[in-house]
Amino acid sequence: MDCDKLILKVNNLSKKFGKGCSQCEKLTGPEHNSNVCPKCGTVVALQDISFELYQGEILGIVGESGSGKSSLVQCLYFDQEASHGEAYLCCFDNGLSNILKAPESKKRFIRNHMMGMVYQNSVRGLRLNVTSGGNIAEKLLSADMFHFESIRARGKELLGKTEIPLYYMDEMPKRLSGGMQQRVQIAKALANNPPLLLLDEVTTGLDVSVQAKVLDLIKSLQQDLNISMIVVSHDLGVIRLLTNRTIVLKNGRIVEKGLTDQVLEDPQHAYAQLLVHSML
Amino acid sequence: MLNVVNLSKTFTMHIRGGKKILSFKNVSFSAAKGEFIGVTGPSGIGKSSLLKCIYRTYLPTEGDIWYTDSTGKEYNLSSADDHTVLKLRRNELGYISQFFHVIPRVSALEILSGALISRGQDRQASIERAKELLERMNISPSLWDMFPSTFSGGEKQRLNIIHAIITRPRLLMLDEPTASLDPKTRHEVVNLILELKSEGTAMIGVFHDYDTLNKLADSRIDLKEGRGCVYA
Repeated sequence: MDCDKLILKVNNLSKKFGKGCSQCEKLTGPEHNSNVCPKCGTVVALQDISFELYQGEILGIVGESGSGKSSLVQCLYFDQEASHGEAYLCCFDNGLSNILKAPESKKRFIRNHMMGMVYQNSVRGLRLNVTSGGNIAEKLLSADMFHFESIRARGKELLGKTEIPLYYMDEMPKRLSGGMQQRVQIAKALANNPPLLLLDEVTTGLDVSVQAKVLDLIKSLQQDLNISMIVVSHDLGVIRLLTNRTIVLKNGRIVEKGLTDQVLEDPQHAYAQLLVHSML
Repeated sequence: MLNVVNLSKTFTMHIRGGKKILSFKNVSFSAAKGEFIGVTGPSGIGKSSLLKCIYRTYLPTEGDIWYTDSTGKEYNLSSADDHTVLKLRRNELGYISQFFHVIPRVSALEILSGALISRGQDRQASIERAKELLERMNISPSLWDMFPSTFSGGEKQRLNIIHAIITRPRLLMLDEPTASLDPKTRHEVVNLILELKSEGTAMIGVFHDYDTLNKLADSRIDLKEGRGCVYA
């Protein structure tokens, strides 16, 4: 793969929950308005998802709940095992081997060294009973950084970047507000300087002023550090602000992909039109 | 540099029972380096849609948009992949919309200098260039570090114009950029556009104000309902 510009390439990624049958793919999808196979009851969360992500680019993923947005990033972060398909990460083995089929030890290495993930719910991304500094240290330790002073220094730097007052460094996230937890999560995800950051509904449930802070942070990270990101959101305002290109998912399929302004102003697929015209 | 061949755009509204709305049909024209093409026609005839198709905010239904970049490579913008379009937008294409989408919580000076800095230009020089243009557009220095969301309509529009021309695009689409400006500022905008034109930028512009159009346009296309365009 052309590693000069590409950072991630995903081919025909599929994810099924259930044992599956030969009819699953035919009987689900946007045209059936369902992702549950009527024959065997298998949920087809994702089917034939292919896309590319370029260096420094932010790719948006939108769609209704249950369309497979979170499953997609979780498959890429190995939280879930993809049923089928390939993903190539430029910085791993020069983009020559399929990371989805890599052995567990390699997967752990990729997760710890090359990716960062921010979950919608900070309970998944943070240990709430371990201090903020400790959470960041955990990510750094798994990325082979063992020097205490350096870990402390990096923790301070990251909390500064995410505008968390330093006296919260030794405070447990469970005592922080939702918006702060989210920013500690971003700090943790960034700790290993990942070339790829996955953001799953990071601003959902935050009040608008905190949401603005988190969005500004993401934007500045992309500008200053040139990190590539996949941003999952059902807030089209967030997508418009952050992304250059957007994928629209429906019942586990890509129904539209294109430039963000094109998807928002001239959507082609019926569902994409419905989504855009539902905007307040 | 730009060669538009039989371009058509029809909107299909799936959420209104698949109703089709014709925007424009069989539009052909070409623009050379430093040439200004004026687009005229009544409201709703598809002038803005034509510009948006060339910028690829809209996907053309039929036809080709051949564009030759600075290295001499030819692209068909109506079918080029997203990444190519983004690259061309970043380096060569400019678009001044009728309405300015303000980037929230970024100051006027940062928005403008940022457009140059993100293209790898020197930070200080970018800021100087932004200040120079803000001054020429009569935007008071007290506003430079303010957020444009607090600006008046005319001030936003001037910012919009500076934002598009500061990068010296090779091909610029202008959608009524002078509509909400006072005569003095309009005059200054026309001068800026003429400067850019003399540097070789090809332009396609929509103006309702015929005085301005006459000053700028080398040739004109007049959109007619449902049957393409007529050179005037």
